[in-house]
Amino acid sequence: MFIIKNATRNIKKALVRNILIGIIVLAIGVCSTIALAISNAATTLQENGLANTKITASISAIPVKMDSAATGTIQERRKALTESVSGQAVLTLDDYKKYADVSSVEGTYYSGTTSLNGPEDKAFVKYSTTEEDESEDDASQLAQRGGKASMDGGTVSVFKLASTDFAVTGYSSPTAMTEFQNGTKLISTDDAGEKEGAVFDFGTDNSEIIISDELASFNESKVGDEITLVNPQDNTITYTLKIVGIYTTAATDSDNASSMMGREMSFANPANAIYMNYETYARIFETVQSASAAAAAAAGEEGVTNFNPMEKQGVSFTYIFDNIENYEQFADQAATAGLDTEKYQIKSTDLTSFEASLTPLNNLKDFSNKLLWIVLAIGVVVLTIINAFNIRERKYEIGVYLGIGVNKAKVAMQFIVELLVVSLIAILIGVGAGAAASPSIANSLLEKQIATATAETATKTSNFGKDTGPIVQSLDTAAGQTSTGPDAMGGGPGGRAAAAAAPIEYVDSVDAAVNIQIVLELILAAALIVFLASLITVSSVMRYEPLRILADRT
Amino acid sequence: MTVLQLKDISYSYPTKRNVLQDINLNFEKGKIYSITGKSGGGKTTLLSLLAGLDVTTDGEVLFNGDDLDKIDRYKYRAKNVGVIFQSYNLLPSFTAAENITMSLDASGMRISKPQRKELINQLLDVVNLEREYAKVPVGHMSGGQQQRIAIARALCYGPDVILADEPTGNLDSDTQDDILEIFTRLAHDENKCVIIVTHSKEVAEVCDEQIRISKGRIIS
Repeated sequence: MFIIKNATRNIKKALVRNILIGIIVLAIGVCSTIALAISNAATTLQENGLANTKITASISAIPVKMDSAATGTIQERRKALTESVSGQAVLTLDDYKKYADVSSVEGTYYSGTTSLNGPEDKAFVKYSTTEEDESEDDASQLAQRGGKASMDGGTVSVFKLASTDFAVTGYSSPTAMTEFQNGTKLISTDDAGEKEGAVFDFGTDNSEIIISDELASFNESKVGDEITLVNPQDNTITYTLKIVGIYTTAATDSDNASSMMGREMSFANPANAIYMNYETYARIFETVQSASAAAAAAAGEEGVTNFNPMEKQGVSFTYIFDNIENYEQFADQAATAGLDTEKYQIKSTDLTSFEASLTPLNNLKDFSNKLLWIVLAIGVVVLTIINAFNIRERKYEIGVYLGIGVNKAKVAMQFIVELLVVSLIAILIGVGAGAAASPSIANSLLEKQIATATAETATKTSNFGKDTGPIVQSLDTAAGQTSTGPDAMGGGPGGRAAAAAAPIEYVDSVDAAVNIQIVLELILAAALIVFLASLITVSSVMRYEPLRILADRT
Repeated sequence: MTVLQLKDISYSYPTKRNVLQDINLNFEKGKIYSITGKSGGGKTTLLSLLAGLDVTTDGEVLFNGDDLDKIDRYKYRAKNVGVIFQSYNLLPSFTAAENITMSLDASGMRISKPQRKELINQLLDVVNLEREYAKVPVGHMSGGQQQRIAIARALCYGPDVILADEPTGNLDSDTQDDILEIFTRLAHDENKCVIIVTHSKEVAEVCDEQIRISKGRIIS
């Protein structure tokens, strides 16, 4: 009772001194609140950011060792490399489906990509039209590029663009068409505002395709037309496909990697991407494979001409999980179902890109944590010094207490209570002020972190002389394309290559709210600071003898 | 009735030996004692031993038969003896009432707020100080007024023994008389044992028993 009463009395009496202590603790409280709020928000975002989000993952081959292909003649090395890659077991669609039949998997989708030729080896589709090109009429453009597409009563157009490949991609379901899901690509609208067809139906081999607006424009094709494409291994095999929709690409960056690649390789030109359902694709792919095998056999280099893993594998399979826990269970369940985990790995590019998006926030979190510890350490030091002066200044008072019979423990406790009460009041005010300031300060600091990260990317681009794209960028995009590992090559021109140039979408705002946990943590921190700063009080009081203090004064 | 007893007390400082030697004294309730002697003779040291502010080198200080070495000295000071220091040892920023209340709280005495106020008023009456002084910080008071507050503080929890070190040393003669009257009344009317350390012959002559110390020994 004496402790509380006398502490309260002293706080009121020495108001100026206690306000000074309060201001220091208040500053500690504000800084700590902001630091803890940022740290807490970052942790919450990390822990819960994917909690209610569907996660996609794919199985990919673990890259093979190329040691065996490192010596010998070019021919020998090529063969060794081919055997090395070909020696890897390739998962079939049935294999992928088998691993999907486990409890953790909520759904799947898949796609496959191959390349086909036009019927003649002349023209190509340009990725972008220059002003000079635009000044020329269509006929002259087509003449320069190998001839006008021939029309047959307006219903059949035979493409005369056979000098290069088309990338043909088949999708199992609308979910698999991630670029259409996220709006990177969409069915285009004509001048009258009407949609130019629609995406093909799924589930049956219907020979329906959608083509890019550039390709359609170049060949004067429209919805309802049929086109004929040619097997690249055997030009006697052709495929007649019906255009049911024309799509456009939202991205128009003509300087990205895919466009540059497209100038050299037509199949890599985004405008040459043709989409269909997986059943149609599967039929085409099977004949491409057969022709490829036959061509290889004829050349006597079986396994060498069939080197391209994209051609061999053909399918890119994606597993969908309801939550992160299910994703984490999948590896074990797939292994139980027969997946050879020494040869194959399971990767979620959602997680990779999510983690990449948190980079500035994590940097901010690290900064906040360091700031917190520095502030607390400074707090302890400053309060200890103030306390030391305080005790020295109040030595006589301590002597009086001891002289009238207050024991040392009570005197020390009274001083601690005084500091604790002042500190708690200051901390609570600090929490309030910190809570008010946290969101804006946190977002301002985060903005600077993002600016730094962006500047680093810009510097790297400058160093390379072009946008190489950070590693995480390519991973970032694969969520929809399941394009990691060897099957990444099957992402197609409209897939990985185009998406790879997309910038990371950093988490650019954080809800640095103060919750009860932070308040409790700060109260605990204040108590700890007071305890540490009070150690000097306790040691001083324990050393003091009333007679000596009072005699000195006398 | 003997309340305090010194048995074969000796005391030495680390730098000064035999400050007190072979002291044997009995103090009874209802009497007022004076301890006189030259400066450095050991008077204040003796009072400090009686107050439990210091410990003997040899011998025992007994309070109601209990050795102070074996009881809680802080509790003893807080409840059983009232010490009036030469320099008052009040907290100057605290009011008279607060100084008294602090001592009351330290003794562990629990009384209601109105009772406390009444007790403070009564104590101010006892030490002949107007009640309005209760709310005045003692730092604003004269030496005589502070001495009265120091006496009031020493009396507030009703100790059996009052120890006063030069209580009139800083006071004028009128105030000195007034203070001595208070002590006499406490001893004779309220059955307290009052022990006064003083240089003053006048003060000593008022007391029931006079103890003279010289070179650490009792000479009369």
